[in-house]
Amino acid sequence: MNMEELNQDELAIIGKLRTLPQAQQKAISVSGESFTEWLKTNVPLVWDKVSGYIDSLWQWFKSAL
Amino acid sequence: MFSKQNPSFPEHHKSFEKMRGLLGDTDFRKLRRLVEDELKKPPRVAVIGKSGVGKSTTINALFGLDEKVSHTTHGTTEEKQQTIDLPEGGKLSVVDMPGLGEDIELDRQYQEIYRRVLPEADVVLYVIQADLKALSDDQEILREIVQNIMGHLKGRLVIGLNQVDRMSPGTWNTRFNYPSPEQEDNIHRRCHNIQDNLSDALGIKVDQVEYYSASKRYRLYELLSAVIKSAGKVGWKLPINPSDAIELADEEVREFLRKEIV
Amino acid sequence: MPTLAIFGQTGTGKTSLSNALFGLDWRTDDAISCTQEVTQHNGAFINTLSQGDTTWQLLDTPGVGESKSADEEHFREIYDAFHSADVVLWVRQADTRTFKVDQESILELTNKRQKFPNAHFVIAVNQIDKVYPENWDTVNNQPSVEQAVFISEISDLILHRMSPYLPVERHCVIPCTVSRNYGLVELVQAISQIHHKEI
Repeated sequence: MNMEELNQDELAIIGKLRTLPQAQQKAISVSGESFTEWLKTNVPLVWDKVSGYIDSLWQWFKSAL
Repeated sequence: MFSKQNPSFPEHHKSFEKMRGLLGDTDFRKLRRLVEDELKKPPRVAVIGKSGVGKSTTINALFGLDEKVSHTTHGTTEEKQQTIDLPEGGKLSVVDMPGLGEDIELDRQYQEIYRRVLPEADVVLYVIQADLKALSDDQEILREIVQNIMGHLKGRLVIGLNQVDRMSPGTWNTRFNYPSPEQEDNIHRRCHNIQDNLSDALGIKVDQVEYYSASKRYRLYELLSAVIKSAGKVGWKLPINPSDAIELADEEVREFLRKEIV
Repeated sequence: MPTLAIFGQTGTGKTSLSNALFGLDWRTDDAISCTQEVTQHNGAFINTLSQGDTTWQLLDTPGVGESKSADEEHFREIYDAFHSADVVLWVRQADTRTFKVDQESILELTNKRQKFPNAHFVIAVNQIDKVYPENWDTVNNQPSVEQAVFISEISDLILHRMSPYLPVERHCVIPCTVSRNYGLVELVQAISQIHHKEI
């Protein structure tokens, strides 16, 4: 099936469905923020050292563990 | 806690190496062990709501559990605690509180359970059924039990408005597994109405009421974000793996949707 | 002229029921509580539902359980309607198991079960088409086989939860769906029979 077959309502729905990846990204970044909070509180020495690279640290944990 | 997607960005890889250099191998391994130990302590999610609002369905859909959390039968008089092994590692502890609002006498018995269980939860998810207009007992429950017992209500509470797929005019588009435009409009109005009512009764600003449908897997990411945020420092332990909404669309449409939505 | 007063949680379909039984056109809303005061009409049931020509005084009340402030605001007039009724029709939504709001409202209306009107009580179980598994038999316009079983259980549960608070009998618990025009004849019969019994 292709886009030409769809009516107005259905096109509108597709438009809305396209926002799904954004919602997923938000969940991931909120999760990263939570991890940051945990680091700051529980492992302050590590936090001091890596605060500049927190983004990549989070990415690493996601893939490694 | 960890997404299914594992993008590897070269820039991240470089700075990751730098970071490892900053910490040194020993400290890096220590950190890793610390995280592993921490993951052994499952985050605790308490689910509250009237009988039949879909608490079990919500937890299963939110964390992609394929029915691991069983539906409590009507009239249960105890809380049900389950520790679930997550599909991608780690654990989750779910406390399903007995249904509220069923009966005056039963509710009296439940208050003791609430006093015992809620203070230990990392996040409390309060589920409301979308197609019921009555809110006064939800207000009462939130105010008298949750607020008094938990104290810092705002921080750890998420209010979920479930079963929006059943809201009038009931024109859910099953082909694409998405609400019709008129239903979406109705849903918006209802949400704002509830936010107003609840903040009025509680005397506080309610951050968000997340509307969704567990059975149709609609807006699960939005609900999940709210739950992770409210879980504060343990939110990162929660998996980002909600059930797939596109899977419920018509077969002929699924392929098309997966290509369109990237 | 006998008085039929309709009560129940907000959103259960009291006004829709009033419209259907008496051929009216009062405003309803799917999302937000609508009826804000006791609304009155004098008339007979529409003739597709009843052969009789009794003129009823119909009282449609604002729903209970909208919010604490709304409930307080409406209480006085709901109370008056309750105690002036010859037939009290309490409307329940079929697919919900929460009764506390209804129970608490009735306790307040009856001064903690101390004071009842000299009336008869009927419970309408509305929206039975939405009962699990939501596969209404549209060909014959009736509940599916599966639904029929659940509807019977639901009626039993309603009686179990409500009868300690409201003197209602099993044969006065009437399943119906206003939107599909089903069960309304039986409902009118239950309301009218009671009235005729009195005479």
